[in-house]
Amino acid sequence: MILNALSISFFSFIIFLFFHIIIWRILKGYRGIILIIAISIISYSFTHYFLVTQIILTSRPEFWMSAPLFYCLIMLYSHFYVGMLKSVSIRIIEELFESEGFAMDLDEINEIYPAREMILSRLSLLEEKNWISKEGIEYKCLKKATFTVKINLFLHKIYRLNNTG
Amino acid sequence: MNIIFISIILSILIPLLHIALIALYKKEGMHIKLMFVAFIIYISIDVIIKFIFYYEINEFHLCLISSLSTSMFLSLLYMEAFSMIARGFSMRIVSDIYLNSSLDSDGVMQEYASGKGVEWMLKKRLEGIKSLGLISQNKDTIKISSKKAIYIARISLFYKSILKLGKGG
Repeated sequence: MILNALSISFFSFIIFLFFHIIIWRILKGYRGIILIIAISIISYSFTHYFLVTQIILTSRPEFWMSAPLFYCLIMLYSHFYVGMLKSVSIRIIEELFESEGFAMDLDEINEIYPAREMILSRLSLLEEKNWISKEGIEYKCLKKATFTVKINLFLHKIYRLNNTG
Repeated sequence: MNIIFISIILSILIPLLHIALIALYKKEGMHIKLMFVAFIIYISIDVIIKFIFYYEINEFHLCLISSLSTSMFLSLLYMEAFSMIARGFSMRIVSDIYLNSSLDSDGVMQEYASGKGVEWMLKKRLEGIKSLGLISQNKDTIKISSKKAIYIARISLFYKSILKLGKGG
């Protein structure tokens, strides 16, 4: 039983990775965490309900025995994925690795990360998602943002966070 | 099944322990380390409870694996939530606009992170990788200073090429 439950978790994870790579290589549009969650549900269901009972023909372990390990693996993988994709630190290391002598000037790094563009692109995204509105040249918080910021500032106090961002 | 629910219920200990440890230590830059201490305490309490109340049940070892997986899942979820509170770029911008009532784009850049400015963000990231010993700085030149950094770059570039992720960052 233990081998059965664990092997279903690991096998589902391998199937998840297979689908994930294929879809990410084919798809051009949205490729984010929601899609990862959807693929994980499909992969687990496929292994748990179809492969085990129809193909391998062994008894199926209970959901709560195999699902926690599988979703723990998915959560670990999601951290790895987001880290690789979004981390500024990893991007800097990559740029240094690809440059001559593994070295760069601070100005060159600033060129990779032009502060103005980073802020402007994020402001237009926030405006598009109705978090902020533009009145003339000034940006103002909308209801959704105000509510979230209040919670966030409260959490900053509780966690004694001074250097956020 | 109950074993999993106990892990979920006990997970309330993670933020409570984390906040309590931060309040006890009162030292800057210890938040991440203290978060891991909170995880270890939570998982230890969870395991001890399982040994006391469920050791005699059938397939206890399998239940323990499920329970540990659940605890780890919840710890990773908390880690993600805390990272968003502490390091979220969008949240920081929105907070700065809120704290100043309104700001133009130049104002957002100047006021980023309560007046530290957007350049501070990049400096903070560079200081972070420097403190890990991955890079070194000589005046204005930044250089890779360890084999670990080369392995990280290779793995990252290979991974991004497989998934066609682009440059990222």
